[in-house]
Amino acid sequence: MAEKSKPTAKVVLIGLLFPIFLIAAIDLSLNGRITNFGIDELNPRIANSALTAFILCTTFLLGNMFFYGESRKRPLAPLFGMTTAVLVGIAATIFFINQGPMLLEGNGSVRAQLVYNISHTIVSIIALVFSLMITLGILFSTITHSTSKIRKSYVLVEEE
Amino acid sequence: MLKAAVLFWLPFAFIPFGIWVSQVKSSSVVNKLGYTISILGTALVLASPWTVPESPSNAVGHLLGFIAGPTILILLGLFKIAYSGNVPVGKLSEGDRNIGVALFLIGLLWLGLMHWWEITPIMSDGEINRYWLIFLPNLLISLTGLSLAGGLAMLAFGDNRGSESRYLFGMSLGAFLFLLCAMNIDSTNLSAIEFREYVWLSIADIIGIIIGSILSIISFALVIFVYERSLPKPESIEPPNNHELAQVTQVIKNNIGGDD
Repeated sequence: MAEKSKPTAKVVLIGLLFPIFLIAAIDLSLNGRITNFGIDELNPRIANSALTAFILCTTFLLGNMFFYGESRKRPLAPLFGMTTAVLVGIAATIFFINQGPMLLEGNGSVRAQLVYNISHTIVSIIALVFSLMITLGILFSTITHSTSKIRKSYVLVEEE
Repeated sequence: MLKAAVLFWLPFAFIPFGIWVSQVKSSSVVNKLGYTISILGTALVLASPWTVPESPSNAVGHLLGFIAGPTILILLGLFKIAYSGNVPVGKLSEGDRNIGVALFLIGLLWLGLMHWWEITPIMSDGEINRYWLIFLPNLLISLTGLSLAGGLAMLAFGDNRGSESRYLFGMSLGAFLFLLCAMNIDSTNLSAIEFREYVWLSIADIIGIIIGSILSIISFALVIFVYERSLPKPESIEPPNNHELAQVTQVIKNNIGGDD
């Protein structure tokens, strides 16, 4: 009997990003452009989000360096490297926000924008983590409620 | 500013710090201290609309307080459903499964009504909490993508998982339809056009988070790569001499074979 074709890992990856493009395409087709809203509002958000995600993610990975160090007689060089990466991220954020109103997103000062960026990214990450937990919860629930594939194949072998 | 730092940002930083400390398994005191720090931090963040009402950051605490109810219901529901299935230990009863399904559905309904009905998180100045307008589109977009990818992953990496993957595809479709409806129909407190703006900003946000995270992982890998390359090569040792080979042969001979 011919085996059913399975989706590849590439299809899984495309499935992750496909809804984003689909939503954008459907919205543009149905409703057209939003008045007084466009690329000038979206670009600062992408830049601020990327810079803040870099800082937060690098800080998290800096914490993981301690676990890496446990297997390497606690060297200081990788810790120094990651701390430098965090500092470069912070310096780049302050530098770019200081360049003018481009990245300020309606906030009055650099400090207000920095604080807003952190809160904004934390809320986005909470939403991402919550959706991941729901997905994993449903996945795990469906697996535990399905009939065991091992038992099924065992019965098949016995019948043969 | 100082008050916001002490009563909001410091407790906020204590949450991940406490979780990190709680992972120390060698000392139960440190472990418990970690959990206590996290719980205290969470309580102070949730109380921030009262402790620092003048700070705009307290909107995060306000949002967390609003979403705590449906989040707990959904996750508790999923836990009960999952552990009432075929698990080797700690299996819950059939009744728990039904309670789990009810909790999960009530949680989803609650979240949905927070957009469509009067229970939207509204700040004391009468404005909708701006972080809610970031949270909801981000949640819906990521839930659509992750559930779709999860369903496809079940088909790709599992055997005969077609019927199980339908639930994930259903969740993805549900989140997608919710998003489309909210982008086209006004809710009690928010117009469809305003929601569309926030959906577009969320798409920008997710793209930014992906770019920032990838750059961060690249720098992490680069730091480890550079450090590992700088390490001296391990010294080679001499090959075993005849005496050592004979000894090894004897040990092997003593440990293999059988009486038959």
